[in-house]
Amino acid sequence: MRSVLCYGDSNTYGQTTANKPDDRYPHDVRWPGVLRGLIGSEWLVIEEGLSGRTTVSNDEIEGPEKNGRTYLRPCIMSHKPLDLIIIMLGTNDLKVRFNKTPCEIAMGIGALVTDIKAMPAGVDGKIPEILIVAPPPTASDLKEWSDVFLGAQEKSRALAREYERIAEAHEVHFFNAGLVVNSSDEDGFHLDVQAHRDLGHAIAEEIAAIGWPDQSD
Amino acid sequence: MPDMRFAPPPTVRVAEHPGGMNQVLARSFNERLIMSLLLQHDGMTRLQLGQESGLSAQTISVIVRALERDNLVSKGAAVRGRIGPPTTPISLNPNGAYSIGLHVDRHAIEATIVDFVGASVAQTQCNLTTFDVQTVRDALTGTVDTLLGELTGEQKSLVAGIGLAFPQRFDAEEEQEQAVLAYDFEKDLRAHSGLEVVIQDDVTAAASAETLYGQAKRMDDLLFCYASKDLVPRLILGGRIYTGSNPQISICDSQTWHQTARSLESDAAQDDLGVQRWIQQVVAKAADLVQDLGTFATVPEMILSAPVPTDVMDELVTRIRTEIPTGLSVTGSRFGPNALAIGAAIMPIQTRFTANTL
Repeated sequence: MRSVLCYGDSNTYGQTTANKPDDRYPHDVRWPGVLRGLIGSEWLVIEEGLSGRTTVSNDEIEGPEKNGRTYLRPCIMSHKPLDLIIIMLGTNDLKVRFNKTPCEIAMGIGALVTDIKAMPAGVDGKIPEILIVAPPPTASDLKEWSDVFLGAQEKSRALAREYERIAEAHEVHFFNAGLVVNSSDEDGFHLDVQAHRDLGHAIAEEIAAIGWPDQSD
Repeated sequence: MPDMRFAPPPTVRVAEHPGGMNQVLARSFNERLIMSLLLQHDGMTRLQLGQESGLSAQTISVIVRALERDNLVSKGAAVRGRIGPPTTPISLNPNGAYSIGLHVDRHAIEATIVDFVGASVAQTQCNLTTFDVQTVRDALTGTVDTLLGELTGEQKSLVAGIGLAFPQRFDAEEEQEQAVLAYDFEKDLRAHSGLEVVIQDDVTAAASAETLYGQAKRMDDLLFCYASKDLVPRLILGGRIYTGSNPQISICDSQTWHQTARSLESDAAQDDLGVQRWIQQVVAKAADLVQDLGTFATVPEMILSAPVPTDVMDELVTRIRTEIPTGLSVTGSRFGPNALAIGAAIMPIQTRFTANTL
C-alpha cells in the first residue's frame, strides 16, 4: 500500500461553491475522495485541505494557521512515510492583502518543495515524489470576493507557467489543473462537483503516469 | 544583494517562444539519453524510461515535459494493463524534427528528407554530368533548395541539419577524385542553408542509421554490408562502428556494375543474367567475409543493404542464409534502394538528439 498526501486549500478541503462557511462536499465527492475511489485499493489517500491556506504567508485576517509552510512539517511528520505529496496551493496567495506577483506565489511553492526535500519523509528515508498542481484560474466575476481578490483574475492566469518554471527548477512533477477544470462561476474560485470529479480522474492519471515499481521490489 | 538561494527560477523553454532548432543545441545529456531510448523502443512509459536510464521519476517527468513542449514526443493513448495502474506510453513525434541527407556518387547525388522517426518524406536526384568541384557544389546547393521547397515554413524551421555522405573512393580519375574529396563542401552548404552540416563516409552513415532506426535497433554487435560494385562491410561491436583500412571487396568492375544497375531498374531484374551473376558474386563474397570474420569475432547478426528492389534483396538474403553458419541471422535493410541518402539524413538527428555519437 502506498500513501499520497493531498496538501491544499479549500479546493482540496472540498468547500462548496455556495457562499457559506464550512459547507463541505461529502467525502466521496471532493477530489481526494474521487481519487480514493479510483486508486484506493493500492493507495492510502490522505486529505489535508484547509480553507484559506496560503503557500508561505501568515494571514493577518484569517489567522496564522493558514500559513501553508508552518503546518507542512508537522503535517508530513504525522503522515510519513509518504510515497507522494501533491501540493495544490496558491489561490489564496492571490488575495490583494499579500500583494504577490505570480512569480512570487510560485516561489512560495518552491519553498514548500525545498522544505519537503529537506525531510526524509519518504519510504526508507528517501524523499517522496512531489507533484505540484497549478490551480485553475479564477472566474472573471468574483462576486462578494472581488475586493479581496482584486487583480486575481489576471494573476491567476499566469500561475501555471510560473509553477512549471518552479517545477522544472526543482525537478518535480507538475500538472496544470486548468487543463481539465475551471473555477465555478457560482462564486468565482471554488470547484463544483463535476470539477472535483474531473480533477480526481486527472490526478489519478498523473499519478499512474509517474510510474511506480512493483512494491515487492 | 538578495539571497541568491531565493532567486527566481530560470525561464523554461516554453512553447510560446519557439527558437526553432536553436534550442535543441542545449539538449542535456539526460534528454538525449531519453530520446535515444525512445528511438529504440516505440512507446515507453515514464516508469520504463526511468528503469532503463537510471534517472529519477521526477527527472524523467521534467524531461518529458520539455520534450512535449518542443513537440518532440507525443503521448500515446493511455492503455490499461491487466495488472497495475494505467500507464501512458510516450513516443517520438514523427513531425518533431526533419533532416536532409545528401549522398554524392560519381554520377549522381541522391537526396532525401527524413522525419524524426527516420521515414523518408521527400526525395530527389540530381545527375552529375561532369565530376568537378564546381558541378558537385552547385548540384549540392540546388538539391538542398529543391528539398527545402518540399517543406512548409514550419517544417523548415524544424530541420535539424544536413548530412553529407561520400564514398571512400569515387569511381573517377585520380585527379578529379582528389579535388572533390579535398574540397570543403560542408562550409559552402552551411553558408548557403544556415543549417548544421555533418559529414561522414556513406557506408558508415548507413550502418549507423541501422543502429538508430533500422533493423539493428537494440543490437550491439553486428556485421553490416553494403553491396553494389563492391561489398563494403562495417563491423559494429558494442555499438561502435569499425572500418578496416582497406575494406572494399570487389564484386565486379565498374562497367559491369553500371550495366547491372540499369538492369536492376527494369521490371524483370531478377531474371536478368547480369543481375544473377552479380547476386551470385555478392553471396559468395559475403559468405567468404563471414567465414573470415568468424576466425576472430562472432556476431549474431548480419544486415545487408544494396541499391536493389525488394525481390532482389529477398533473394540475396535467402541465398546468403544457406551459405553461412546457422548461428548468424541475415536481414535485409528496411531503408531500400536509397539507404545511403537516408543514412546521410539520419546523421544530424543522431548528433543533435541522441546520446550516441557517430
